[in-house]
Amino acid sequence: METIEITGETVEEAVAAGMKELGVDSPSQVMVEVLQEPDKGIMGEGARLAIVRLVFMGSRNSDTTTSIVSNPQTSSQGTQIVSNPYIPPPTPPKPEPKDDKGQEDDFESDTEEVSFGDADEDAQVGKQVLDELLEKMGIKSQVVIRKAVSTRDGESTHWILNATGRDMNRLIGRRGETLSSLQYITRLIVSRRLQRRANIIVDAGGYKAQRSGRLKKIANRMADQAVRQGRTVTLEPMPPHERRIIHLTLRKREDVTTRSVGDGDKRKVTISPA
Amino acid sequence: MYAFPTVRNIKCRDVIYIVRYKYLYFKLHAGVFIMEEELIRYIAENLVNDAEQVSLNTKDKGRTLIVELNVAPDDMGRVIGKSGRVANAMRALLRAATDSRRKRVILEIE
Repeated sequence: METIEITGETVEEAVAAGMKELGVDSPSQVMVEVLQEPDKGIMGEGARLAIVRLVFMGSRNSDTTTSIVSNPQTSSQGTQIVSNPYIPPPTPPKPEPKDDKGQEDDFESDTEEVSFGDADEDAQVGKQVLDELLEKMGIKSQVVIRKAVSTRDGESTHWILNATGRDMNRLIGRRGETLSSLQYITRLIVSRRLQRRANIIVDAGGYKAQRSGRLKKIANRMADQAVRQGRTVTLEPMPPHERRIIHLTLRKREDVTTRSVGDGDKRKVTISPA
Repeated sequence: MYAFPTVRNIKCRDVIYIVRYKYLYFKLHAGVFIMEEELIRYIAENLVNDAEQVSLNTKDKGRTLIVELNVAPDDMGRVIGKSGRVANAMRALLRAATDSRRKRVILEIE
């Protein structure tokens, strides 16, 4: 694996220069680690360049884009891994440490395990298809069927197929992209077999369940920030179901409004004070 | 010395050698790609109307593996999807499946 460190006026510039150096044309082929955030300094004194480390990742994830999170706090925290194909990215560092709202309800505790016989057609066919897909992918895992107990926020009336096993990081992919693809293909096949839309969610090692709890925390923290600073806060790009969690979490709050802006992979949520 | 078997002097020992060699050859060359092909075949056959016409061809180009998927013309849309969504999802799964072998893999649909 090829690794280089490179400097630039801004993080984006440094990344672009590094990609040229490596002969890579898509940002998704490299893992970016911000070693030092740029600093203009005061009157030209104490100015610092951005330093980034790029790790060439081969063609893995070649058709998805890496987002670069620039955060003014990074320099004080040392390094921050911006994207990593194996582990989910760390939550954006909070601008100011603040109290956590104790109202995060995690998705895992709202669900219960259902035996194969008790599940309905969607889940049974879904499990079958998912088992076959995982076997063909050479990933050894067990699929457990779960069902939401309560239907809070009108969501999670779905069946959740949770795969557990050793290779879960491989199955989740960077920012859960492989998992999204797996869910898409599984749903497509199941819907075709049933001749109607299948109500299933595919999860791996409880990744989505954990992510949902974390997203709710982030949502509340960023909403507090928006209100405190009296301006719009933009979150990092997220897939649709993650944006949905943010919107649903903040719908109850009257002091903020949320919107999604941008296109495709780069679509992100903005939180504005009402 | 081991004499290479001809039709005349073939012996039991030779059969074992040949079978073992064939097995190793299979493992080294063919067996490696079968998983990739089977994964795409499974997905494609479950999405198209005409499963008979699904065919796969895999080429090994050193560090790169090219998996070619052919389907009936009417089924092209089903394996590509809106703005290539299905094709991209298949690519993502293919990559996740191949990851451990450190080989890049390309899916082509024709």
